[in-house]
Amino acid sequence: MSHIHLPDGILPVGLWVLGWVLLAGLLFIFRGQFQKERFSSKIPLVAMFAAVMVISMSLEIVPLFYHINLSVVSGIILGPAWFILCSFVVNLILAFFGHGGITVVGLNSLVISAEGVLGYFMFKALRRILKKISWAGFASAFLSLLLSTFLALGIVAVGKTNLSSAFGIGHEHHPEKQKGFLKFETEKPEEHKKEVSAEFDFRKFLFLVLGFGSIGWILEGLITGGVLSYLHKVRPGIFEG
Amino acid sequence: MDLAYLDYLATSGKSFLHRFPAGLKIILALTLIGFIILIKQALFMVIILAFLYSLILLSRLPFIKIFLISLYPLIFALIFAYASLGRGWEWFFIILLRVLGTATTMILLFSSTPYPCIFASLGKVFPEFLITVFFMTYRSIFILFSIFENIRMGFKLRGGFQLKHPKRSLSNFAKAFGYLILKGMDDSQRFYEGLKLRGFQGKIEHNRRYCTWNRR
Repeated sequence: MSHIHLPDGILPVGLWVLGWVLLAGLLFIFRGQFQKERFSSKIPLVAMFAAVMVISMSLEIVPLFYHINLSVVSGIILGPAWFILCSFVVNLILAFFGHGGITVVGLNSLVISAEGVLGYFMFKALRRILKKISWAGFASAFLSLLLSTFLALGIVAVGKTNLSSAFGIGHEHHPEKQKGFLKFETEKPEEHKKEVSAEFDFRKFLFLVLGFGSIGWILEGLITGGVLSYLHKVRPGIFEG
Repeated sequence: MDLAYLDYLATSGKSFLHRFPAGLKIILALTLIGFIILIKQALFMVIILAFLYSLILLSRLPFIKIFLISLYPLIFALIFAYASLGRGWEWFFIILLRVLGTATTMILLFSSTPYPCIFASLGKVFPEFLITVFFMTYRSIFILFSIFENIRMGFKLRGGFQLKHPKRSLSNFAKAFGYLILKGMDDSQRFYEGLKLRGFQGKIEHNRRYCTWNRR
């Protein structure tokens, strides 16, 4: 749980539809590269990395109840374009068995894509500075997970302003929008504003996600550093391919 | 792993739900998810859940196992629900019921429909090239999982994950996954060579007849 798997039915429809649209847009941008390499060995490689990610996400580190993603490792080896495709495949398959929502596959894919793509660029930059692969791997995984968590939090923050209407519970009083002869005003707008903000305690949510997440980022960072170091020792030049 | 178990349920079941055409099942599942997302009353959501649970029982699928699998996304939903407690307990339960409802729908779909049928039906919406990636990923999951079982045994023999020795445990864990990745990369190359030999043109053919009423 180093990142959030947004579940179904929590975010407003417009937001998760936007997630699908953005993901489709990204895949469309890279369609040239996919078309060019569609007969190459890249497709089985993407499938294999997607499988590695699905397996790693479905296994918990037992005493800690965390799972790792290996998104940064996959991002570094596959490169940004193929990793976006990989994260979509992973999220769709995970949604099939209830791990993350089906409607929010677009948003979840964008969050995980951000992890891999940021990890890819950070690792490239940090490798020159830190020299040691394990440290560069740790730092790039930690930072990209931190940033992608903030991306997920940003999505929830955008959604939370709409959460009341998304759930449809409670009441929406917009006297200024009411049409007709009669205008019912049962409460002052300031009181209503106060009530809406109490519906979803974003600070509480932020505290929980960052609190649990920080342990996950460190764990994922350490494991990513270890995996990258192992790969570099066993197969030198793997990151150049 | 849940995925292997659900796949077993989908291919071994012989109920009416298993024989129902995959495309129609996907449409029904998406409609049901649409209802769950749009419905505003907890009571209606309980009715939908009761309908889903009765389908599980009528299809002779293992109710308790499926119920337990569907609880997994509640871990994430609980964070959202807890943050929304200011709105009251009704809201808290609506969030949980929505997540439980959509997860149960997806698990029911996946445990009653073999994956080639799901991907073949998705081929009408997604590009064929993407469906090929889905097929290969799904196949790779089972190949890698059997490799991972062996690695896990080795990992356990080396002490497994011990909180007393976090450095050694994490190092072993990282090596296990590193090895899995290398094996996966080698296997993907071998897989590709095999496919090329058989005339792979970037598309895997599938038999749609298998996914209709008269498949058995």
